[in-house]
Amino acid sequence: MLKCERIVKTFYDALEEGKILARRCSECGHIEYPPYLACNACGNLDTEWVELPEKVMCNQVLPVSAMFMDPDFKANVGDYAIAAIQPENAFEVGSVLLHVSPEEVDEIRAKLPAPVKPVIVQEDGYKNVHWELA
Amino acid sequence: MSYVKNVNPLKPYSRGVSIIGVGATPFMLTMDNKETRGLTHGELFGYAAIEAMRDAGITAKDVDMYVHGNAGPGWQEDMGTPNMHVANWFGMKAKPSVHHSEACGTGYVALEQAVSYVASGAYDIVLTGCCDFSYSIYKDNKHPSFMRKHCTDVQWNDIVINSQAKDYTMWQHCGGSLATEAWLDRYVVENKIEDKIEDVLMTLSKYSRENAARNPYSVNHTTYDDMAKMFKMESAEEFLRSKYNPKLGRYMHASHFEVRADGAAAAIVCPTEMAYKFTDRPVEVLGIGHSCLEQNTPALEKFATEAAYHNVRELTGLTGKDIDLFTTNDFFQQCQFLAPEECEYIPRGEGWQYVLDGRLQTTGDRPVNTHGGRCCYGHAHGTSGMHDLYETIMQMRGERGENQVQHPINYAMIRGFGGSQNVLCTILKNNAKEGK
Ligand SMILES: [Zn+2]
Repeated sequence: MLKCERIVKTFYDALEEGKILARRCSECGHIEYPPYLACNACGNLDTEWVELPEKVMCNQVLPVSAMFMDPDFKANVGDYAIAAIQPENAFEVGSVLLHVSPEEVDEIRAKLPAPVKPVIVQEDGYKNVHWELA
Repeated sequence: MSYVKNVNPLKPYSRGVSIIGVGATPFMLTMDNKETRGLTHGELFGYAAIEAMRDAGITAKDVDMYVHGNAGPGWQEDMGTPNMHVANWFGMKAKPSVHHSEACGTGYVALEQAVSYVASGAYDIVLTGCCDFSYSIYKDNKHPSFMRKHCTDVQWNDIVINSQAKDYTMWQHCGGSLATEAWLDRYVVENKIEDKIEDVLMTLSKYSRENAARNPYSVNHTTYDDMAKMFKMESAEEFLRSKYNPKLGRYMHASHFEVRADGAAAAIVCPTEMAYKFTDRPVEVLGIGHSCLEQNTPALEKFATEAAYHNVRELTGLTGKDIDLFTTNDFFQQCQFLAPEECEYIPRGEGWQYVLDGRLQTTGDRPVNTHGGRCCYGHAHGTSGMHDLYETIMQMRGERGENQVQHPINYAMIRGFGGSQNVLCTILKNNAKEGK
């Protein structure tokens, strides 16, 4: 009978222990971050749990659009900017770069691509991963 | 970064499929006009469907099945099985039907759905239509659906955010900002046009609004020059750079975002070999490239457009250079030059200059969005793609009045986008008989 392991819950539960999990393709080595079931690079159906690669780059930084302000999130984490993040051997994903005021966006853009490190943040009833410059 | 190799090649249709009829209601703010306040989903879909059948010279009896599209039935109408909410309105009782929802991609998927049903051989004549009330919503289970309310900006923001996957993506707090500006930002940096992009975007706003003002189907009938006069300013440029058009991101101002509207549109498709039985002016669907990327992919619109265009180019052997008219979803107005560039309709890296030189305007040599586009003409989310099709067919027939392009249109491309996020590149061929 098909066994349905809880991928999403395992990811968030691991954050409570300070661990950031990803899945690695058993065929091509591609990293699925955040973790999904199958490989989106080669289509292989088997992936296994690994920790997030140490090398993670930020490729793009933008200010938060006034159309999509999130006051609750800002009250929780302070200043932040929108970012495109890419762990080694993984696809680029959207996220946020913490501790960046709108005035600092240009200064950071001049340094891109730049290495970043994860920050585990307490949100409303769960922990989540965001980023800051390494 | 590219996702082209993730998308398998398209195969030719089992039989050719052509569009033989189209119909559309104008885009409206139904709540704001005493003659349209209270119009309902079934009525608008019905009006568009009946106009499309009349245009094809058929009746409901001739239609084998219909496809119903709406951006998100939970957003606007609290509908389950939406194809049944319109079922009694246009003479098709008991006929087979389906519903689909891909947010703002719906109107483009609508054509792909109908074409696939006919190409399979299972059905000969299929009606495909979309209806959306993005301005005047019905969120009520206590009254008939003519009792509607304005959709507020807060409600709309919740809807947009809810199109993101709720396992991880939504909780990254970045989807909206990335979707609006990530592609434009990469373009600006790559082409080193930081000092020019403001002029480009303002030029785009000015003439898109002029297109819309000339278009009787639009929700806006004033130009930005008219707006300037109302505010005692010298020119559209002064108005567009004033506090009435605030900057909302790194590049985009309020004028570069969609204007919500209510409306419907429909089309009739049949096998190409049967098309001349109904009309002298059929338009054949040569192929539809289709790629989808979820909202957690930065600049997803660029990458999905690249993959969708790649596939339709490989299938048809036609490139953007062969295309005579380009229509695109532009709920972020810069897509009017980003998408045609990605699809080789205009040379790479030169789209911004084409805008400044007026070459993408209705009177230009490479026209884009002759109806005025989402930010000016209006945007009834799932239905707008079907309005792009309506505009394109009317342009191919030479029936667009003041907005008619200056050259014959043998081939047209429609670049669809929406739904967090479906991207489709459709190539159409004008098969009108000589002199028609
Ligand atoms: Zn793989």
